[in-house]
Amino acid sequence: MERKLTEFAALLRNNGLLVSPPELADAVHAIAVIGYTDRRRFHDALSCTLAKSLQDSLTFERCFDLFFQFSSIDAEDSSKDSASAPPPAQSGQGNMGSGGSSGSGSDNTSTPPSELGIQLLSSDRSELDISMARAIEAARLQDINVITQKGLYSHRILQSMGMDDFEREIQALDAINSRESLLRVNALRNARQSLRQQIRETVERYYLLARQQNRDGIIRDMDFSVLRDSKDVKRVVQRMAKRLITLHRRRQKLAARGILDVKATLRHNIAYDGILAEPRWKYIRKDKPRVMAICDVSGSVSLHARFLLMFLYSLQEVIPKLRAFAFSSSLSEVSDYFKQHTLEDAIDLVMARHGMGSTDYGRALSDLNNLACREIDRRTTLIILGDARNNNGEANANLMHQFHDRAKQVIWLNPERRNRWGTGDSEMLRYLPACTSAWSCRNPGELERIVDRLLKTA
Amino acid sequence: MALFSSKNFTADSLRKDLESHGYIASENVALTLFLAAQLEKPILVEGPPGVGKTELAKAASALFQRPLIRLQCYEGLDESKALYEWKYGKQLLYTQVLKEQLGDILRGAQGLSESVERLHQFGDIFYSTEFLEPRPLLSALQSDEGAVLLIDEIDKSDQEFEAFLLELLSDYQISIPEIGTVKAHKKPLVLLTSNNQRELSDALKRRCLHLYISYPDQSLECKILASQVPSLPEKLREPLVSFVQSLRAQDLRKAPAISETIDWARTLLLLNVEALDAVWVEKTLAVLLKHQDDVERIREKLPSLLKKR
Repeated sequence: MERKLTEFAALLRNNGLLVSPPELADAVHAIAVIGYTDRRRFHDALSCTLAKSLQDSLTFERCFDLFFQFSSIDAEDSSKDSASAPPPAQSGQGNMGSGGSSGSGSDNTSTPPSELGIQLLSSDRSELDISMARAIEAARLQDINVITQKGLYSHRILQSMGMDDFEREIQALDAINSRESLLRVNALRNARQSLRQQIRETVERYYLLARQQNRDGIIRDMDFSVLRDSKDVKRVVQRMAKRLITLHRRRQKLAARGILDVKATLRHNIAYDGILAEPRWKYIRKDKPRVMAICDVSGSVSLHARFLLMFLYSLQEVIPKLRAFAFSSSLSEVSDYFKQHTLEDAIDLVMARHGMGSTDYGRALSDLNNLACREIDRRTTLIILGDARNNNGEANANLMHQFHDRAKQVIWLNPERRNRWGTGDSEMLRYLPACTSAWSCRNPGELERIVDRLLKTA
Repeated sequence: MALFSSKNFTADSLRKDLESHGYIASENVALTLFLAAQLEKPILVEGPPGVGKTELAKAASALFQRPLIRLQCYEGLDESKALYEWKYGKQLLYTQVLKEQLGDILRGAQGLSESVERLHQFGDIFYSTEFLEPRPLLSALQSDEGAVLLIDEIDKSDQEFEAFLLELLSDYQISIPEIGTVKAHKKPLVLLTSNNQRELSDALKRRCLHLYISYPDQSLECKILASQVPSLPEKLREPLVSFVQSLRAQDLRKAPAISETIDWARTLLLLNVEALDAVWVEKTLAVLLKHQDDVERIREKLPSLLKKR
C-alpha cells in the first residue's frame, strides 16, 4: 500500500500538487488508522492529508479517479464475472478432470496447463490481478511517455505474465482436436481477448497520466512561436504569475516595516537631553515598479507579445503601474483595453487593431517620444519586446539613448537567438548600447526568469 | 492523547458524539476530526462564512471535554498578544519594593565590579515564569488537561505571524527568548479557520490536515435545523430549507449560510408563521440576505422561486 501511495504522490506532484514527504507520511499514517476497505473514507482521508486547498482538491479528484480506478473496475469485473464466468471456468476444470480420468492423460502431461491459463479461467481473479500488477511493475510501465511505446509495453506485460506458455498450451490443445479440448481452447481464447483488452486500457491510462505530467514542464521550454493561445498556456502563465506574486508581495511588505535605527534615534533625541523619547526607524524604501511595456505586435513576434502582455497583466498585483504600448508601424498606448476588457479579449483587440503593417522601429520610438517621454522618469522600467528587424528603415537609435538616460532601466527582450542579432535588417546591435540589459527570450521559462529579476531590481 | 486511545473511538462514533453535542457533521468532517485526533495534527478548516467552522471547534471542545481557547487573528497581531507578555507593571512594582533589599545585598561590596558580581548571583528573577502573562497560545500549551485551540481566521493575520505559528503547529512547542522552549503539557487539538482572504503559505498548509466545509445538502441542512431549532414545526422545515437552497443557486453577493438559515427559522418561529408564503418571506428576507442589492434582486424573483417547489 505504501508503494502505491508513493506512486500516487508522484502523480500528484507531476500534476502540480506539491506533496512533501511528511504529508505523504501523514497519508500513510491516516490510511493505517482508517483502513482501505471503504473507498469513500479512503478518498476523504487522502484528500485531507494531501490536497491543501480547494484548487488542489480539484486536481486531486482528477488524479484520484484516474489512479485508483483500477480496483473499482476489477470489483465490477469480478462481480460481473461471478455471474457469467463460473460456468466456463467450471467446465474448463471439469474437462481437466474428465480428460485425466478418461485416459487422454498423455496429452495433459505433455502440455501441462499454463499458469496464466489457470489464472484466467479461475473464478477468483485476485491471482490474475496480482500477477498483472507484478508484470506492470516489471515492465516499468510508469516510464512510458511516447505514444508509439504502447504496443511495446503491452507486449512486455503479456510476456512477463507468461504468455509464451499460454500460447503453447493453446497450440497443443488445438492439436488434440477433441470436444473437451476445443471447449477449453475457446474459453482460453476468450479470456485472452479480454486480458489483452484490459492490458491495453491500463497502458492507455498510464500513457495519459504520463502525458499530463509532462505537459506543463514542456510548455515552459517550448518556443513561443509554436505555442498557441490554449488553456495550457494560460494555466502556465497563471502559475508562473502566482509564484512571482507571492514572492514579491512578501518582499514589499517587509520593506514597509522597518527596525529601530539606533544612530538616528540617538541623534534625534539629543534635543531631549539624551532621553530616548522618540524612536527612529530604519526604512528600506522600495517603490512598486513602474513598468512600461512596448511590444512589437507585427506578425513575426506577435505570439511573443501576446504572452508577455498576458504575463505582465497577470502580475498586476505586484506591478500596479503598468502601461502597455503596441506598435507595428505606428505606436499607441493600449493600457485602456486592459481596463475595459478581460485579459484575453484585450489581447485579441490589441492584436487585431495594431497587428497589421510592417515594422518600423524608428517611427515607433519617435511616437513613444511624443506620447510618453515626460512620464519616463528614474523610477520607470522600460521593457521593449521585439526582434529589432526594421525593414531597413531609420533606426532612431539616438532616441533609445535618450530613453535610457531618463529611465531607471531599459530591458530589451528579443525572441531571436543572440547570434542572430545584427544580421540582415536587424538593428539590434545599434540599440544594444542603449539597453541596461538585453535578453534572448524564446520560451515561457526564460520569460519568467527575466521578469523575476525585473521585480527584484525595479 | 489518552482520551482517544480507547478502542471504540472510531470515525462513526465520533460523528454520533458530535451529533449529541448539537453539531451535525457530514461524514467528511467527522473523518477529518477523527484523523486529526489520531495523528495529532492541526486541521485547517476552509469554507464560506457561516457554515460552522467555528462551531466545529466548540463542538470538539465539548466532546473531548477540554477547554476551548480561542485566538482571533487580525492584521497586526503579534506574539505579545498571541503568545505571552511580560507583566511590566508587576516587574516595576517588585523593583520598587525590592529597592531596599538591594541595599542590603550590596552592603560591604568593594567597588563596582564586585557589586555587579553579587547582583549576577541572583539570576534573572524578573524574567521568570512568575512574570509571564500567558496569552491564548501559551495557555493552550500550559493547560494540564489539554485544550482545543481555535486559531480563527488565520488568513487575516500577517505572513510573519503565520511563520511564527509553524513551530507550534509541527512540534507543539514555542520558544520564548528569555526562558527557553515551552513544550505542551498535553498536545492540544488545534483548529485553524480561514476564509481564503489571502493564500496561506505552503509551509503552514503542509503541517495541517485540510478540511473544506461547503454548504450542506438538503437533508443535512434539515437535520441541522432540527437539532438547532427543534421547536420549529416539521412541516415548515422542508420548504424553508429548500427555499434557502434555491437561493444559493442564485447569483448573489453573499449566499445565505447555515447560520442565516437558523436565524431565519428562529425569526419565523418568533413571528408564529404557519406557512411559508410570499408575504412572510418578503418581510423577513433581510434575515437571509445581507446586501440590499441581493434583497432587491430576490424580491423580483420571489414568485418564481416560491412556485418552483
